[in-house]
Amino acid sequence: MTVESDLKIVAEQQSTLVFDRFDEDMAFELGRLVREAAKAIGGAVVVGVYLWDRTLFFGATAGATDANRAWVERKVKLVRLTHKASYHYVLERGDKPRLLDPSWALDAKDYAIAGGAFPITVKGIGIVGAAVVSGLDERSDHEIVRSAVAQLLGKGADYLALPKL
Amino acid sequence: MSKQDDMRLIIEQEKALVFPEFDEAIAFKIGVALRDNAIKAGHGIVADVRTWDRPLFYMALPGSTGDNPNWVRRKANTVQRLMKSSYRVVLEKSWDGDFFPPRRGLDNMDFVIAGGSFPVRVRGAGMIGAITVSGLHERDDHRVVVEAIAPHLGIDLGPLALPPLQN
Repeated sequence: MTVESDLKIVAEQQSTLVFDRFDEDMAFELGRLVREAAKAIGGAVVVGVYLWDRTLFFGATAGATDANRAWVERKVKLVRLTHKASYHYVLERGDKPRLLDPSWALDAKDYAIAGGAFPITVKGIGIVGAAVVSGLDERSDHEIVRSAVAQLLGKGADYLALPKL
Repeated sequence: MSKQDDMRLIIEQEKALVFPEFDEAIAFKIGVALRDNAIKAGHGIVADVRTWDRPLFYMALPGSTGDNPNWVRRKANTVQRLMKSSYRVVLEKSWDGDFFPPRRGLDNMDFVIAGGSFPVRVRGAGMIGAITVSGLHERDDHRVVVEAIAPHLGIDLGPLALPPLQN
């Protein structure tokens, strides 16, 4: 398993996990699925489901802190900026420092380069928001969101799962 | 039923609705109850559960807008500062308008006097957060919050319930 093969999988996740429609009910179900999955592995996480203009869902499991809230908010902004899953961006960058190029003039307090934010793509519209988790390692944050999105779309929890490290 | 009756009832609600414990799972449970009740009633609301240091739950239903979370934030700030239900602040104030006089230093951008935010009080710990709804009339925002908390605590609101408004 290589970075290249991971990148290919994540790109395919993103291009195929596409909603026909997305609304408040689906956001709630998505958040609920992530919470249940986190509880099942004893994970202390925060999960947020955001449209670009507003929050649709926010939840936490025991052990999560305000730091997780901040990570979630900063990871969402990276998806809005790049239109990529934040873990895709991480994999692309390799060992480069986890800071945006200074010429972009974007503050690290607003943008986190870390996996766990997955775009919400609606057919015919594009990326309308993101679902985000913080609390596990970044690959697991990404996967727990990917799995919940896949379930919501009826593709099954293991659809295009990344291999375990 | 008068403003005084409402005030008296809300003080009793605040005394009765005290949590033996509170955590992320309870925040979620109450959030889900708020959501289920709102769907049943056809209410387009947002509901928020937070402790003073961080958010624990948020949800929005169809019909709510980007304006609602700003109301939630400002109502919860009012609860945090004055340590009472925001609807009690509404009923107790002696001036017109839904903002504080300038000398209070409670800017309208951050604090609003509007009902719908109820304190999370934990026995032995005090007031640690707030449960807030926005989207209805402020008296109903308050009512639906209280109606979601009471069953969790095994409390029959009964005589503590705010009666329907009469015209």
